[in-house]
Amino acid sequence: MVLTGWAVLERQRATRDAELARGLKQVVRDIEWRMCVEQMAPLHPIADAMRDVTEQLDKLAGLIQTLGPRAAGPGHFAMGRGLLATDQLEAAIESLESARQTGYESPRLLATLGLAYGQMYVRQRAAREIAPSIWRPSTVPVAWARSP
Amino acid sequence: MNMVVNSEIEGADGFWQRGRESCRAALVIAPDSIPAVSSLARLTQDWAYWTARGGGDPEPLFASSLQLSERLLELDGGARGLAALAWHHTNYAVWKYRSGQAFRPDLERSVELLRQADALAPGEGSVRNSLVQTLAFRATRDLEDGFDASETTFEGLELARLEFADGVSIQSLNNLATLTVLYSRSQERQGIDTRDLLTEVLGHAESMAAEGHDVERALGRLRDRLGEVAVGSE
Repeated sequence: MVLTGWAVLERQRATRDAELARGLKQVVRDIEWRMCVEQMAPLHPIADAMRDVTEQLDKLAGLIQTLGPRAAGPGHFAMGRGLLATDQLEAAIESLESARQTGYESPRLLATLGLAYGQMYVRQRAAREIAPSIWRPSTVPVAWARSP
Repeated sequence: MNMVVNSEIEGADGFWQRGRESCRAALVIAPDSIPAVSSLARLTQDWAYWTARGGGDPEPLFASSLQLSERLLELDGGARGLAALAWHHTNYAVWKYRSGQAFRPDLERSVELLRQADALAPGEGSVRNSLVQTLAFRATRDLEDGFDASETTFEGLELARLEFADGVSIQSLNNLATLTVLYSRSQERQGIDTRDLLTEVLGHAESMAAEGHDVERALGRLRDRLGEVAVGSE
C-alpha cells in the first residue's frame, strides 16, 4: 500500500516536472523569438520590447523561486538563455553556471555556456583593440546566433 | 558577480578557456551534439580571428576551425552548417590575403557556400549580410588586381538592394553604399556613368541622417565617390 502511494506520488511529481520544463522552455522561446524579431526589424526604438522582456525575465525568476530547489537547474538554464538573448552576458553566465552547479549538466546547457563565454571573450577583445574593419561582418549569421 | 571579477583578472583568454572546456564537456556527454559542435566551432573561429589580428600564428586554429565547421555541416546540412563553414573560409581567406598567401580558393568556397545558405534560407538577414560583405571583399580585391569585377559587383549590389528593402538599418545601408561604390568603380572601366545610381543611394543615406541615424560612413563613401565621378566626367 505504502509502495503504491509512493509510486503515485512519484508519477505526479514527474508529470509536474515535465510541465514545469515545458513552461520554462516556452517562456524562453518567447523571449528569444521576441529579441530575434526586434533585431531583424527595420530601425526602431526597442525600449518597449526590452521592458516586456525584462518583465518576462522577472516572472521567470519568480517562478523559479516559487517552485523551489527542484526547478533550480532547468530554471537557471532558462534564465541564462533569456539573459543571453538580451545580451546580458555577465548575468547569463552567472545563471548558466548556477544551473550547472545544481548538477543539471545537459549538453545544451554546456553548449550555451560555451557560447556565452565565447561572446564574452569577443566582447573583451573587441573593447581592448580597434573596432572591426570592413571585411569582418558585424553580426554573426542568424543561423549561428540562434540559441542552441 | 564574483565570477566576472575573477574572469577580469584572468583576462579575455580566461573566458575563451572556460568556453572551450564547457563545449568539450558537452561533447563528452553527447559527441554529436549540434549545439556543442556549433559553439566550439564558433569559439575556435573567434580565437583564430583574434590571434591573427594580434600578430600570432592562427594556422593551427584555422585547421581546427575547418575540422569543426565540416563536422557541423555533416551534422546539420542546413543554412547553419553552410554558414559556419563559409564563415571559416572567409576568415581564412582574409588572413591569407593579409599575410600575402593565395587566398582566392577560400574566398570562392565561401561565396559558393553562402549562396547555398542564402538559397536555403532566402532573406535570412545575416546570411545575406555575410554574402554581401564577402562579395564586397572579392570585388575590392578584383579591382585592386585589375580584374573585371562587373559580375561580382552586380550580384552584390542586387543582394544589397534586397537586404536594404527587407530591412532598413545602418548595416544594410553601409552594405548598399559599399556595393554601390564598388559597382560604380567597375562600371567606370567600361565608360558607364553611374551618377544617377550614386545620387539615388546617397538620397537614402541623407534621409536616414535626417532621421538622426549615424550614417556618416555611408555618406562619406558615397559623397567621395560622387566627387571622383564628377571630376572624371569633366
